[in-house]
Amino acid sequence: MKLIKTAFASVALSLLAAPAMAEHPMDHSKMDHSKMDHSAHADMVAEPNTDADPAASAQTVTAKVNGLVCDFCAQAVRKVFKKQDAVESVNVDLDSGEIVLGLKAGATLDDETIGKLIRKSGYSLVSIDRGEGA
Amino acid sequence: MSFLSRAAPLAACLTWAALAPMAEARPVSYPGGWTVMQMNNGDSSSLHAHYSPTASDSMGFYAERNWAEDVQFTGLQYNRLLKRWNGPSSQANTYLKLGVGQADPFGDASAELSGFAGFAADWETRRWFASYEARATDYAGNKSVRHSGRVGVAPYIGDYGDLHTWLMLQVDNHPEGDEPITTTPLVRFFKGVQMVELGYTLETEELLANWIIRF
Repeated sequence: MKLIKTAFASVALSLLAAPAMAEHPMDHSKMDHSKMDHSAHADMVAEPNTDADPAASAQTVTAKVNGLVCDFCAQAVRKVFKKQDAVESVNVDLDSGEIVLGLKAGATLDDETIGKLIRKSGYSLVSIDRGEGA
Repeated sequence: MSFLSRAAPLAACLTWAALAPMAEARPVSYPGGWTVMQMNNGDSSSLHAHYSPTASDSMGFYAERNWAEDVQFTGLQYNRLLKRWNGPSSQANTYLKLGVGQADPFGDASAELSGFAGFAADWETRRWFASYEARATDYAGNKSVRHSGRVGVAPYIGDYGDLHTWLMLQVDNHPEGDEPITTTPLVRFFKGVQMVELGYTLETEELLANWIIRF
């Protein structure tokens, strides 16, 4: 048990280093969110899959991807796609192995680019399905 | 005294690494991603911080304080994804790890140019996990080879962003060690960008504690 204290210190520091993981007990139902700038929330690590509802985007594209087995995989895909100007939201569904991209109004993202970005993330594109309005 | 002598350098590492925790995960991130991993077991404590310019490479700082071999290593590490197999519900990888730097033996001996090389393979679904790693080190002329294997199962399947839990068993083979073969049951907690592992090595009665963060 030589490293018990070390381990507890590690865990404690880990928890301290992850303030974003903490629940914040605010009652949001009483707050006016309409005047707030939520644009920076997309990269918050504590709620990694809380992008705006893709259905609310001008266009949605669903990509079926092989190799998505963990949160690191999902994070990789999100980080790469979020750098694209055309992309408004990125939602990853590990159950179905799908990435749902919400595109900005008037923006386009062709299949070749999507495939290239998925390969750049380290994964394999299976198919692309374009939602209504695409 | 023993704990204190170990705690000072370790505390420095932990303080530096407080920005990020977790262990034995894939050593390459996404393009532009940073990873910090801090690992502790009965033999050593290490800190590895690396940057991935591509999804196939990463490079960064590596430091290890090794009480089994009475040496401290500080240097640079390069990791290369040799091959990845992406399946509909699985992923498998092979990696090469190379390190070069300076090893400072405990005591009065002078530091020497040293290094290590490793090969790692893993296979993972959302339910099952298996990995293997072989690592050869030459720390100040003290050559050593280790093998490590893991199997794991996730008792439940969470979605992205949930708290994921894995139950794992790690078996290590270190022919030169006092206990050539050790077994370590451990639990892995994984949430978002952070991972923490806690285990207990049965033969040596020592704790394993690893953490990793990717950002």
